[in-house]
Amino acid sequence: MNVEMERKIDEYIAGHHYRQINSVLLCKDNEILAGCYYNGFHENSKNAIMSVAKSIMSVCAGIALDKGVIQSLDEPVYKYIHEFSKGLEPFHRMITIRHLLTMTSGIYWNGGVHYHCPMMQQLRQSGDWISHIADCAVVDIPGTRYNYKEWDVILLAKLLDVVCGDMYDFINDNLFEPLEIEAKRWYKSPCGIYYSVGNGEDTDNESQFKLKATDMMKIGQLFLNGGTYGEQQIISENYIKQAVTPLKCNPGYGFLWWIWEGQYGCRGYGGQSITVIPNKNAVIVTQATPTDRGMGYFDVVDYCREILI
Amino acid sequence: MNNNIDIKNARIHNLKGIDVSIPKHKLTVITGVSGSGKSSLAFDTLYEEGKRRYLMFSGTEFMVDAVQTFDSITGLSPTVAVEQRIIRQSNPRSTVGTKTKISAMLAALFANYGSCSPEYDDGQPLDISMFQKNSAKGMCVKCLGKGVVKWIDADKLFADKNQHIYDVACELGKRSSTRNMLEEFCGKYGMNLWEDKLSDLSEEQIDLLKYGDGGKTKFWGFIPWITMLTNGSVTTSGRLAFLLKNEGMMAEKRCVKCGGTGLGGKASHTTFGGKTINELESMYISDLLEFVKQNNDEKNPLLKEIITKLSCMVDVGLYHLSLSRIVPSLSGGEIQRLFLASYIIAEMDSIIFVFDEPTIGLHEIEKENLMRIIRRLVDSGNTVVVVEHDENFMREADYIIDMGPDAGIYGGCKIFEGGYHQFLECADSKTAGYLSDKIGFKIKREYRKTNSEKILTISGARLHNLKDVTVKIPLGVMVGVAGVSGSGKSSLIADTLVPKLKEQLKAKCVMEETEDDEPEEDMEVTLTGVNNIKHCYIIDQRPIGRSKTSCPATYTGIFDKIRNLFAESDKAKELGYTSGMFSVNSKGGCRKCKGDGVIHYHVGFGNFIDIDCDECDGSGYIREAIEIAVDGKNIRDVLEMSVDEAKDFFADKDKSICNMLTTLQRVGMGYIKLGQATPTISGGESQRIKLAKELSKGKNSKGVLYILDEPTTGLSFSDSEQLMNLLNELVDMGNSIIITEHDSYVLSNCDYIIEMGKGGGNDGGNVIATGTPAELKNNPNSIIGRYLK
Repeated sequence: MNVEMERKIDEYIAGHHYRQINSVLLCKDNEILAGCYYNGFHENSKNAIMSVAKSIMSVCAGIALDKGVIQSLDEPVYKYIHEFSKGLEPFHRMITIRHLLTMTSGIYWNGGVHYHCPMMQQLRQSGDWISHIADCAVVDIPGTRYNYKEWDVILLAKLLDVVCGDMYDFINDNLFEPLEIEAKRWYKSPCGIYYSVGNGEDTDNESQFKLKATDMMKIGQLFLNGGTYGEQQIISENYIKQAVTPLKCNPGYGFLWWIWEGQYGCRGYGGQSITVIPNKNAVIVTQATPTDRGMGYFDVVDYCREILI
Repeated sequence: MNNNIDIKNARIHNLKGIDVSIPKHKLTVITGVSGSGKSSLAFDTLYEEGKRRYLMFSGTEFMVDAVQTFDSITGLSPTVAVEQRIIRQSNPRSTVGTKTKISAMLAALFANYGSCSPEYDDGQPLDISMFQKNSAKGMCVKCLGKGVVKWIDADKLFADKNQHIYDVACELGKRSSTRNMLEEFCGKYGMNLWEDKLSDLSEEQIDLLKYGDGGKTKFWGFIPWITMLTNGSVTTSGRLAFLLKNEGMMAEKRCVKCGGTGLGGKASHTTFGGKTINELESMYISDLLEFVKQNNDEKNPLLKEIITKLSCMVDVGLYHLSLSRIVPSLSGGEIQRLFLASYIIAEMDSIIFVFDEPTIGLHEIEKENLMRIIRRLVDSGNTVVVVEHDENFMREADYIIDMGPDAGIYGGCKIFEGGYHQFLECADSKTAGYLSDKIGFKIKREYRKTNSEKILTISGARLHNLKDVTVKIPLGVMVGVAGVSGSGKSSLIADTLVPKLKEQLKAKCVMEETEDDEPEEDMEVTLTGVNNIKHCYIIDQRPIGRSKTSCPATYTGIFDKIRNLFAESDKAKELGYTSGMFSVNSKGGCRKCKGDGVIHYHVGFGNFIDIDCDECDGSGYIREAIEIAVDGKNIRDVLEMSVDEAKDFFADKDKSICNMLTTLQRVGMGYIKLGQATPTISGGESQRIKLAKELSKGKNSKGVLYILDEPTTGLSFSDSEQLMNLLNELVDMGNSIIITEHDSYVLSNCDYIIEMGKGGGNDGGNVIATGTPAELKNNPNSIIGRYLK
């Protein structure tokens, strides 16, 4: 632990009046340098991880690929999700697993102001999420245009459920347990879709999937270490490389992982983040209580990287 | 307190330094022949200055004025204008409901008082955006709020196994945009575009053709590629869409998810008084008003407000519209009345209203209602200034200003200013003579005989509100189609007869290509007698050309010839300039304003102020182009000429230009500038320019059917008379004319009238009277009869 570094982070957060930040964790060379907690949070507190779960699903897809549960990322989605084999939209047959991982299915989505997801309301009312998404217009040729959306991960959750038997069990058995992460089962919609963000009720609801800051750190470390945890190869290095290779249509995105110059990571609504900085052998984690404006606190991450030297 | 608005030395456009004094809290009508300067006075001087001062006063304006266009205006108060032409270019998605905000109020009504059917009720409260099909929350996810979905039938495209690959999708593979990509694609997957038939290919190969190889080669596969081509995302290919639709390979179908409502499941299954919001939006406004009244409980403030707004719309003669009707499909007159309604609802006083021919598109009965409403505006303390040609309107005016004597440079003078009765005595006015019957509009008393062998018969028309209409339209004569707004005139002519003519005459039926969605079609109706028609020209009021820089000169094709004249001048030849130098869309365009001549500044409240471009001094041309002159005039000077002036100018220079200009004069367009920008050309003017263009093509044609829609819109008495003479000449030469019309003078000069009615909307849709104007005058069923001259 580096007391000086923790003091700097405390000062920075106090100076910017970031009252919603709950934890900041900084790790270099596999060693935690700073662990700052606020608002009564501590090492064992859990915070909703929001869309960081998307990146965990990417890990799940990678492991499924490693294990041969899926043959290739270019397999068409309709092979596993029969609603997409009916020809409801001419482009349905073209959508592949890769498109789901890269937010390029082409299905219409409007994320709304501050990503409040107005389109989720009709989905939740629909009773059958997959049929509802299969009814949505496909406005771009699959694979051609990046558009961050919930649809693609919901379809991926369904697909992984089909191929793995149960997606959460698969993640738990193949990722959380080896990484010594204890977690509660993800929220499952009444129609049987795992959805980490939960049932849509606001503020700290029970259905949101939560992790400790140190759990998130382990996932960042896993990527930094080429897929190994201790002696164990959890996920192939090959998949990790692909997952953090920039897309042609969006250089800032890989397989449900974000990519920036010299770093990559995961982002969740309202300040949840994992940032991996390979050339400094470092990982930074932040957690916060989301506000309506969806503050990201990326400056905190930048600041942490600066004080790393 | 100043009781008048005094304008001193107004000199914009062709105005010749005129002084006028407009009484406040009165109704003033500005009249005069077309192009005489009425609009320059009412809109460009009075309204522009009123708007400018109001914006300056409210602090939202910065002030730059290129040239002072008058010496002084005193007595101004906030001014609103309702022009017809500017509003034409409105948002293609806005509807009568969104424009009047009644849709938003209905959405609020449903969110607060709607009841949701149990199978869609998830216990969550309703909210307004769920009832708005352009909101992400409310829209149907399949059609995205449009209610219709484009459908490409992949199986049908590939059904004929005998076709070659290049035959697929109406020979798409032969098109240059597709050929190379597809050739390469076929090569890669062991196919030959030119030799292989579909029966030679494997299932996998067919699948590859349909959906491509996921982007490994340039060709996306037929289905995605056709989608892109017909969406206009690559190039606009209306033709491909047309061909595919004809073959039944592509269609616009009612959205199966929302059933055409454009809304999500919960919203489409929420009702108020037993009706869904969509049902209410597609009702005629008069019926909707009745419905809302029946469900009014006197306590609901929302309902009260909706009733007020709807009543007002009925008052201004918009009872035949529905809230779902899109604004671009409205006529200029309807749009103006829509705005009028919203002002009346606002209940303001001390406002100056400036209207541009508000009676356009109105039946005589409706004009009387409109008069009452405008009178109400005046009585509640407003000042109303109206540019108008309508006789009854002038009779009602408190004050008349007559501009003239002629158009363009031959106009711009104030001929008369004062009360109606004095006006009748005014010998200098070209208008007063018609009013006092000193000249009098020529009224036909001898009608051409109809020939029972040359008749078009429409049977079983049921489109929109048409009630199984069967009607005989005599050919070889001038036929007028009359009826109140919404009585079914357009449904019968533009939406039933025209599509049928197109279907049977194909290329011999000429009308402007439109990019609009396919109109609804009536498949049951039959049309006989088309063999009597050689050609058909449909001349509507849609704008000429879509670009901002299109103008009468470009549309009629004379601009190319004019540019050539400039390019052939000695100086241009010497400098090596080609005709492209004299086009703002080509080499000659000013770099800064892109040829517009003005720069558009937003000054808040959705208002814009145009400032002349300082780079080209407002000419839109680069200096090199402006420096070339033909007979002392540069290209800009020529575009500023009216048709009348230009005809003199080109008299000894180019015969074909002169011929076109003569035709334009004959349709009453002598006053229009060659370079007048499309957005400032009214629907009536557009129509007459189109008519001139068609006339110039087939000079001595016979057996042609011309279909026109209120061709005298915006024309003064003398110009109307001239146009009617021309149309009569056409008929004398052996052609036929069908005119949809309200104007009693025009109708009186037809040989045969078909009157639709009796009311609008559900009350309409029947033929209530047919015969010569004289017969209709004595027909008790006819409504228009008593207004005929």
